[in-house]
Amino acid sequence: MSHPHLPKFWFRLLQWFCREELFEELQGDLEEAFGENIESFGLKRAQRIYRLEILKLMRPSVIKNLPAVRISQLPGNYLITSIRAFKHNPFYIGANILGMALALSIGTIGYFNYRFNDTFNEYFPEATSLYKVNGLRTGESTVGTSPAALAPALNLAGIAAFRYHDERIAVKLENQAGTGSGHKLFMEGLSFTDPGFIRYFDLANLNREPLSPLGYGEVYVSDETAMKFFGEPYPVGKLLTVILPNHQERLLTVKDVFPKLPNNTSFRLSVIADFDHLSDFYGLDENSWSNWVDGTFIYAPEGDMTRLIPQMNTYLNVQNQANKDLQISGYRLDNILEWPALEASLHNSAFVPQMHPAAVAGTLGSAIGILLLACFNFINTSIALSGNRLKEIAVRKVLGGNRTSTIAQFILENILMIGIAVVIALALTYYMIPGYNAMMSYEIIQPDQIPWTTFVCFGLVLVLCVGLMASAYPAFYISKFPSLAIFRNKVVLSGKNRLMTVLLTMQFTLCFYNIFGLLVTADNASYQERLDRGYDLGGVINIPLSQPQQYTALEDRLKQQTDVRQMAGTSSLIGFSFNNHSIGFNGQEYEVAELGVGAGYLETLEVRLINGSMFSQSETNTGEARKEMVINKMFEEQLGGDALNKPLTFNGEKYTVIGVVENFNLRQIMFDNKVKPCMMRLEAPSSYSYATLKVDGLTTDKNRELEALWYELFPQELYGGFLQEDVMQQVRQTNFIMINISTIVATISILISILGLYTLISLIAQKRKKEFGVRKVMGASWQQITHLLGRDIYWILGIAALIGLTGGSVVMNAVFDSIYAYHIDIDLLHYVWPTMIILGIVVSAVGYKMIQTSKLNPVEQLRTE
Amino acid sequence: MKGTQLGELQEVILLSILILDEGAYGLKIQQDISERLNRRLSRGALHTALTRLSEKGFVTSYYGGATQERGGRRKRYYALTVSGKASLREMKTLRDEMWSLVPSTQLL
Repeated sequence: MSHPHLPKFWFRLLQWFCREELFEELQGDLEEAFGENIESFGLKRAQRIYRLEILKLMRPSVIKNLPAVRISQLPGNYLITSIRAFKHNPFYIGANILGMALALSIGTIGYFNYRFNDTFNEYFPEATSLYKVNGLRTGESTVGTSPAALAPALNLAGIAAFRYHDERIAVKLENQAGTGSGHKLFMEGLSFTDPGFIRYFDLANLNREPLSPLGYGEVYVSDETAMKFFGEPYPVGKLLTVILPNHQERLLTVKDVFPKLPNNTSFRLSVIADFDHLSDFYGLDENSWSNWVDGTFIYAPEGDMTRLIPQMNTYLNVQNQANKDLQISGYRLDNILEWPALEASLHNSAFVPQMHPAAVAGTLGSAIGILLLACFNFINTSIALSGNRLKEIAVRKVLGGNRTSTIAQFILENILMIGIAVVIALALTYYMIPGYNAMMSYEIIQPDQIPWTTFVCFGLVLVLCVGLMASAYPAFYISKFPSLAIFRNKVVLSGKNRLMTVLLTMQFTLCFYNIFGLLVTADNASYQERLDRGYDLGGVINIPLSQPQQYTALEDRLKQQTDVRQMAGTSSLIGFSFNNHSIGFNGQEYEVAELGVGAGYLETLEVRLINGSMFSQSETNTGEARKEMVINKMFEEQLGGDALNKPLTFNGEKYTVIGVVENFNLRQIMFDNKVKPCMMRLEAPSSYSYATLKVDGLTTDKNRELEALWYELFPQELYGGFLQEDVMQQVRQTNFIMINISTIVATISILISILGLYTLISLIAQKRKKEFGVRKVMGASWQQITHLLGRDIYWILGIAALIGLTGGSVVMNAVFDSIYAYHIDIDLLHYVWPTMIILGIVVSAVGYKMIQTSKLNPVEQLRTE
Repeated sequence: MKGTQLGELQEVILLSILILDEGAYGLKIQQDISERLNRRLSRGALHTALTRLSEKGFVTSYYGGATQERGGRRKRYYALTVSGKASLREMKTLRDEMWSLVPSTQLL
C-alpha cells in the first residue's frame, strides 16, 4: 500500500536493484520522508528528492548480486576463449577488423560533418535568446540587411538591439621584405559592432574574461590575426594601420585579443571596432534609413521578441519611403540557431551560411552506407567462422554451459573486435581529418573545438551499437542448435545460408552503386571542363579598378607588352556580375540580363558574333556611350527573330541592336544558372570598373607580373586581379569533393565486399569438400567444379548490378540536376564500365581460390576425417 | 575505515543515535544529521556508514513497528553496542585531552 503519488518507475527500479533484506528498511524510510517532503516542499520537489535518493542508493552495499553479472568471471574465461578464437583465424578476423575500422572512420567523419552543421552558432551561450532582423518581401527573397537607423530606434525594456557590419579593408604592414615600396597591403575583414554585440554574443579574451566596450580608435583582434599581422600572440597596445577608400591612413590600437571563433558560427571575426568608425571610415550616416548594415541583432530573453515585432513594424513606412527600390512588407526575427540555414537564400547577406543540407546528407549517407556494408560483412564473417565452432558450442552445452553463456561469449567476442576496430578507426580518422578539411573550402572538422567527452561518448556508442548490431544475429542463430544434432552432424550450416547470400547481394549492390557514382562523377567533371560556355575562359585576367582612370594608366603600360594580346574595360563581367533589367520592344516588356561592357570586351572574351557587328572602338571617343546594344541569340528568338537594327527601350531611352551573338553562360554552371536572354550595352570609359586582358602564356604567372606593375602604379591600392577561369572554381571544387568522396567510398566498399565474397567461397569449398571429391572421382572436370562453386556468385552479382546501377542512375541524375545547370547524360557505357571493373576485381580476387579448390586432388578431399 | 577507527561521519551518526535514543531509525538519523550539520546527507550515504558501523560491531539493529506512512513497512531501529560506546568515549577523551593542551591564546 504505497503512497499514491510515489514515482512508480523509480519505486520499481529500487525494488529491482536493492538487496531484498534492505528493501523494507530503505523503501520505508524513503516513503516516510516522501510523505513529509510533500507537506514541506510540495509534490514536485518531493518526487525529485525521492528520485535523487534512489539514484544515490545505487552503491555496491545496496545493489544485489545479479546472477547475470558475474563480474569476476567475464574477463577470465570469456576473454580467453575470445583470444583463442582470434588466433584460430587471424586473417579473416584481421581483415574484418580492418574493414570495420575503415568504415567507422568514414562514419566518424560523416558524423562530425553532420555535427558541424547541427551545432552551428551554438558556440554562443545566449544563442537561444539572440535573433537577427530580416526583412520580408512579397514574392522575392527575404532581405538580410537592415537600415542603420533601425537598431537605435528600438527601445523596449529588457530587449537590446545592436548592429553588426563587416567591410573588407586594406591593412598596411611596414617593413615587408621583397616589396618595392617597403610596405605590403593585406585585405582583412573589419567588423563594426555596437557594444551590445560584444556583450550579448559573450565575446571574451584569451583569459575568458568578457571583453569591455571599445573606445574610438581601439580594436580587438583575433589570436589568428594577431599572429598574421604582428607575429606575436598578444600584441596589446600595438598599432594597426588601415587605409580608407579615400586613401587616408588611420591608426587603430589593439586593446585585447580574443580567440578565433569556431568555423561553425556565422561570423568570421578578425578585427572588431566600434560601430562609430563606420560613419568616419565610409561616410555612413548612422541615423539614415537608406544606409544599410549587414545585420541588426536582437537580444530578447525568454521569447520576449514577439513584443518587439509590432514596434518594429511601425518603422516600415519610414524604411520603405527611404528605399524605393527595396520595399519590404514586414520584419521577421530569426533565432541565430535557425538563421544559418536561411543565410544562403537571403538577399544581400554576407554572413557564413550553414553547409548545404545535400552536402551533409551526402556525406552522412555514404558514411552510413559504408558502415552498413561493414556490418553486413561482419555478420557474414561471424556466421561463416562460427560454423567451424559448432562442435565447440555443443561441447560447452553438454558440459553445462547454457544458451545465455554462449550468446554472451559471441557478443563479447564481437564487441571486443569492434572495440579494437574503434581504436584503429579513431587513429585513422585523426590522419584523415586534415585530408578531409583540405578538400572542403575551410576546416569543417576542428578536433580542438570538439569536447573530449563527445569523442568518448561517440566511441562508446559506436562500440555498443555496432557491436550488438553485428553480433546479435550470429549469436542467437548459432547458439540455438541442440548439441545432439551437432554431434550427429545433422546441422548443416551450409554456404547457401539465405541471410549470407542476401547480405552479400546488398554489399555488391552498394559496390555497383558506388563505382557507378564515381565513374559518372568523373566523366561529368571532364564534360563540364570541355563544355562550350559560348566564350573562351583561357588566358583572361580581370583586374578590378577603384577609379575608371586607372584603366588608362594600365593601358599605357600594357600596350608595350607583347604577350598582352587584347585589353578592354568593362563595368560588368561575364561569369561574375550582371543586372536583371526590363527591356521594351514593340510595347512589350522583357525581363533580361543586362551587361555594361566596354568596346572590345566581347572580342577579348571571344564571344561569337552571328549577325551584325560588335561595338567598334572609335565610337566611344566622344566620351559618351552610344545608344547601341548587342543581344544574344536567345533574346533575339524571344523577340521573334531578326532583331538586327531594331529599336529597344532601356531605362526610358532608345537603343539600336547592332549585333547578335551566340548564347553564353552568364555565371558558373551551378544550380539553375542556365543560359538566359541577355543584352549588352556599350559602357563609356568613365564608368569602367574592371580591366580585362587576354594574355599569352600562363595566366597565373602573368597575374603575378601584373600585381607588381599595379603596386608600382598605385602603391596605396590593393591589387585584386583574378582569372576568368575562377568562374569554374565552384564547379571544380564540387566535382573534386564528389570524386574524392566517391573514390574513398568505392574503394572501401569493394575491399569489404571482396573480403566477404572470399570468405563465402572458402566456406562453400570447405562444406562441399567431399561432394566435390566424389564428383571428381566420377569424372567431373575442374571447370565444372568451378562452375558449381561460382553459381551463387553469378546470381549475387547479377542482382546487385541490376539494383545498384538502376538506383545509381536515378540518384546521380537527381543529384546532378540539383547541383548543376548543365551535366552529362548517363548512357550505356556508364553501365558497362562499372560492371567490367567489378567483374575484373572479383575474378582476380576469388578466381584463383576457386580454381585452386577445383583442382585439388580428390583423394585429399575424401581422406579427411 | 576498517578496524576500530571512527570516521567523522560515523562519529556523528553514533552521537545522533544516542540523542534520538529509542527513536533512532534511518530517516530520523538522516534528518537529525542533515539539520545539525546543515548539509544534506543522502539515505545512501547514511546506509553505507551504518553498514560499516555494524561491520565494526559498533551498532546493532532490530525491527520495530510498521506504520501507515511507510506503506506498511517496518522501521529498523539502531542502538549502540558496548564497544560502540567505548569507541565513542575513547574519541571524546582523546579530543578533550587535545583541547586542554591547546594554549588559550591560540583560540582567539
